[in-house]
Amino acid sequence: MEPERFREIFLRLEAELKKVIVGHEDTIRKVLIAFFAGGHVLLEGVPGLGKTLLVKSLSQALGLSFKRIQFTPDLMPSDIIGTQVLAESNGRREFQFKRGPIFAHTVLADEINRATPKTQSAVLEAMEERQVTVMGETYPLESQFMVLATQNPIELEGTYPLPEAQLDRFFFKLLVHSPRPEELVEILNRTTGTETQEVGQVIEGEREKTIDQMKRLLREVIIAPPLEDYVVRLVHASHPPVQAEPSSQRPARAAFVREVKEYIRFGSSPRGAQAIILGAKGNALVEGRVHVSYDDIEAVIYPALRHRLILNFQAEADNVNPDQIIAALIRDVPKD
Amino acid sequence: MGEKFSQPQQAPERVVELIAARLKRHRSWDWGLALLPLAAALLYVPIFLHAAGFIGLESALLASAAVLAATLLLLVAVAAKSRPARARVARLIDSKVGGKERFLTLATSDPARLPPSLRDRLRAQASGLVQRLNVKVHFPYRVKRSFWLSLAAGIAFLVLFHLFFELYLRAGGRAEALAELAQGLAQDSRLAGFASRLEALLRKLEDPNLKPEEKQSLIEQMRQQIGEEKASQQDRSTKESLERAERALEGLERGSENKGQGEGGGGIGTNLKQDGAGEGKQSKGDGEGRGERAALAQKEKQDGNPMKPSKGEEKEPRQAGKGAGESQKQEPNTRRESEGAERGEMAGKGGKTREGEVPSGPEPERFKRPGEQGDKGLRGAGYVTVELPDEGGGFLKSGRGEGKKAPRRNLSVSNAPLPPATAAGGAQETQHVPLEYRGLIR
Repeated sequence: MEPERFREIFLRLEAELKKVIVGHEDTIRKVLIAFFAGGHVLLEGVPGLGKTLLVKSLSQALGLSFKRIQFTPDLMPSDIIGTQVLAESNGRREFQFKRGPIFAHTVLADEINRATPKTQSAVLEAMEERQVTVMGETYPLESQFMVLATQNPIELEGTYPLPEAQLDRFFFKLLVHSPRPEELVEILNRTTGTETQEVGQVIEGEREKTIDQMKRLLREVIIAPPLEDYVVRLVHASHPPVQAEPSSQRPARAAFVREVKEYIRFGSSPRGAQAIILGAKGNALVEGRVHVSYDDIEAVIYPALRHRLILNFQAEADNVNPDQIIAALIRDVPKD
Repeated sequence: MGEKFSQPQQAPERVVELIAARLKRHRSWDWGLALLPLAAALLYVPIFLHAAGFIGLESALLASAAVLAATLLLLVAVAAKSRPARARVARLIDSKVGGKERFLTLATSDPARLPPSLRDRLRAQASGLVQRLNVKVHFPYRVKRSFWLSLAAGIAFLVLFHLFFELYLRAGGRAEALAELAQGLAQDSRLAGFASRLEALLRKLEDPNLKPEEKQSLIEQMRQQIGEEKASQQDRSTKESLERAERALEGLERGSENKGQGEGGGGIGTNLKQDGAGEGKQSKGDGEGRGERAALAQKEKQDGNPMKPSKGEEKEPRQAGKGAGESQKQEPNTRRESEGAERGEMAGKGGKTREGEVPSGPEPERFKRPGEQGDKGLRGAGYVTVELPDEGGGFLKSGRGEGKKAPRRNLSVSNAPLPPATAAGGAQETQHVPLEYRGLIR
């Protein structure tokens, strides 16, 4: 596939989603980048901001199947994955696997932090393995499988915050902010009138093949070794043990970031570096380039790292959030 | 490399190479310019020392060659190491043309590992940007701060060098160098005679009573002798040695001239002070003493008796003030010492002497008129018997204190009036006293 074709499809998808989603341009772009990079997205925002609509519209635009799972404390893994049921066919009774909602191209895991850890882990395992095993039998998921999970930052009573290991499986964590006044006006105009906007299907013909080609092209985007090195140093600098070491014992070219030393309990995993580079490649293609630049890295580093930096108590006491730490990393880690 | 890359299809990798080479040249220029003033300052030293006669031509050439070689070696070593990294150059080009890391990617990625279609596309994009690159505008050469710092350091070095050199010369360095040269020349049998003459000249020049003009005439004579010697010699090394000696003498002559000028300046200062009262007012105690003394000297001058104090006369107030002094000092020094002695005397009296006050105590002998009998009966004496000291008999080289007393002990001095030469028992012969011995007559 030509990069121009990728860009064209991408921009058309963006345009279709913007028909129904007002504002959130950056969120839309990052969700699409994560989709073509083969990752899952965690959306965090208060209710009513259009998270569900976004995911639904995305599946419509892509022409892919969509399932929604509302996570509740009594939700069981089998409710998601599926279960064996006794069925009769040709006069014989046998167990048949009844597929759960996880068997779809795009799955919305709404308020994922309300389910018990057992259920959460069932979903997250499926996300990572892209297959489920029931009664010793393995069932592969869809090739274009993508989970978009949402969580509410408020009303945390009776919730089960996702463990760090499970958070790490999300490619991006996107913060969905409240709309600005002018965006709210537009939302009202679109939703309180008689006219309704329909999301059109962007990819015609062999959709899955086209999507596969787009995913392959994204991975082919060129990244220069100095930029890879920069990403490695960024991720490495996010580890507090590195910062705690005396400067003489610190690895060569390791930057000292005061905020990391003070506020970070655990730094980013290698998945963080993978997410940065793949996200940067996607961003480069959308920007019309076939190579990654420093701007691409800076564009995706926040959603790629913010859920992978585990803050300590001091950070909570000082009201420091991961985005501030990432800003400090960009500030202190030299590019060359 | 032209001002602009005229060919749009110029490979970006090649552009990176060209810019890297240009930056390398800039770096070499930086180092060259940074080293140039210092090297020039270092080169100046042997050339100057050669011109001043301290080192020979060969030594000067050797030292200059060593400085040049060290500078060149350093430049070559730096130039070899100063090639900027491709990544850095590519990043620089990207920043100049808005390349968004296109040049960096092409310069640092392994082409074999890149998808061909994307690599070609990237190269095409970068080639398009090459046209925006104007080498003279984007990569001009500017003289760096290091050059100015080096220039300042070089100038400071030269100033310090001359300062220390001058101090060295004042400490007798040039004469020492000449003495060494004379010793060296003495090794050569052909120049042995000349070397001994040079050593004798140096010994004469050490005489503190020798006036600058006399010194200059002696040096001039020696230079003429060197010229003649040079003309007669055929050997190159001998000629060179003689040239060194000539230059050293020239320097010595210059030094002597400067010294004479300095003394002349002092004389002017003294004359101004001779106006007397004004200065006495300005500096109480010490100044008054000097002013009064100057006034007395002026008076003496008017009487036709030049103010050239004899050593014996000078000694008395000095001894009163300090209790010690040097009789073999040159005139200005003597004057200073005399002043110092008076100062000491004044201080002893509490420094309370005011303008118009006449120092108490007996009148110095030198102010007595002919016929008046002083303590030593010198004034009014018709004749004195003078015994000349042996030539150089420890007199000239005597140390402080000894210089005054040792010769005097050996001299038979009579302060009684003698019968005239025509009378019986009168002096059998008369002799004109050379100028330089006048100070010894009591």
